[in-house]
Amino acid sequence: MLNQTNANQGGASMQHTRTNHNTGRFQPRLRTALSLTLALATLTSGNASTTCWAHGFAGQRFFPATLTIDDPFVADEGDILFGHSRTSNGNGGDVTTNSTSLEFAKRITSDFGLSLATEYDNLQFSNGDPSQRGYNNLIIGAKYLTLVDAPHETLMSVGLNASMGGTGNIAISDSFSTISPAVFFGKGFGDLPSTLEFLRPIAITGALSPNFTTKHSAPDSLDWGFTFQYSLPYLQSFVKDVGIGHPFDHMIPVVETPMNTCLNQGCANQTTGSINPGVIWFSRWGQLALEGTIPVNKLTGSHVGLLFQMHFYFDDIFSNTLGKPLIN
Amino acid sequence: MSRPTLFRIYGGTFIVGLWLSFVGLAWGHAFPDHQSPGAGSVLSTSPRIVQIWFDGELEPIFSTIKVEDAEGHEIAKGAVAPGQSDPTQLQAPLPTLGPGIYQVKWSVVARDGHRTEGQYMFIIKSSP
Repeated sequence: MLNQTNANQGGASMQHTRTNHNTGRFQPRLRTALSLTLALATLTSGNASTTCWAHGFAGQRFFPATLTIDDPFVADEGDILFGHSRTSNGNGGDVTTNSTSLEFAKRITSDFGLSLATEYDNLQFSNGDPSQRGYNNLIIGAKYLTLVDAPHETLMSVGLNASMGGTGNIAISDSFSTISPAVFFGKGFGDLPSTLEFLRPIAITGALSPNFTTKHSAPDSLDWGFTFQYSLPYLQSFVKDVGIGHPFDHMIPVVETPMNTCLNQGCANQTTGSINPGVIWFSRWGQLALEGTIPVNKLTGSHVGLLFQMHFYFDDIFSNTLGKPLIN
Repeated sequence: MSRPTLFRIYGGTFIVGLWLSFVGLAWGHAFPDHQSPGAGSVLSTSPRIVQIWFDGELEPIFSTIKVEDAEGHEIAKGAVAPGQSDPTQLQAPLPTLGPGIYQVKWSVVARDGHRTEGQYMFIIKSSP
């Protein structure tokens, strides 16, 4: 899935905040980022299943690809995310952003994958300033699936994303790079006792990812967030047949909470983000999803936005070619 | 990128998505479509067979189903229903079951090699 910085309003506003600052201390930050990633990998490694479950499975639990919180698994997948939001520009006016995010992810082994992502933004200003449009910086990512616990429906991964400064349109994107180590988890509650059977379709996923900028004066930040899912197919097939028919038996109502907290410079401790209720419908080829984005505070904005996702499971569509790990 | 170009991208991807969602696809993980008895069913008599219909074709050799009692003893097992031109169904004939809780466990491999698995319970209640 896409790095949440690209999809949530908070992340987007943080990126624009960073644009006006100066250069800096890349090497120490990169060492910190790499050390953190390695430490997380060491802590969580050792239990990754050798079974190839492809996208998002832990036992009988299917985790869909969520829209704004990066997923706790690796997959061969393609993702198109359309976003519409309206935020304050801080001068009493509004900025309307229409974005199209694209991501391609490829497994190298069954547990390790690489990804490439970018975003095309179109910014319209209510005060009459000329609109700005163009591609944002290219994001290169790596992710390693460190844990699959089927009985407890648990997944864990670590990753590292690099937003490559200067690769995007100068009017839209940052001139500097951002290095983001990350840890991701997913937990289904199918192991709850039968007395709590209607809670068993619930699953939670989450991500925690500090962003270290390569520009001394640009603030670092922390992306964090959770998704809360209630799987109707899980309820229908594994818990209680309540008579849900097509197409609802392939729907997963979801609430995502992508947040970004500034860590230093002038914006230290300021948090932006949104609460995104929506629904994901999945099929055997991929999924369609729609979410609203409700700002959590005035700093984030005061208007509800929309996200629409088309996501393709390449491991299912091209299971014998593009959808296989390069190294089995 | 001009606005007409963007609209073409939006429209194209939407149409591709719609097309993919409606054509009969033969690949992908196999998920249960419906099952009998249903998950969590409370029955007054013993069913004669457990059946699960999937949304895709299964590899018969690698697809299994079994039924266990509350102590975990296997009391029935089955496979893809024989003689089907469209092998999407698992079935396990049952002996006459007494009152109790029973667990159905299945594991299937779809035609493209992807495995899915699951389990659910049904209950046979005591006669009044």
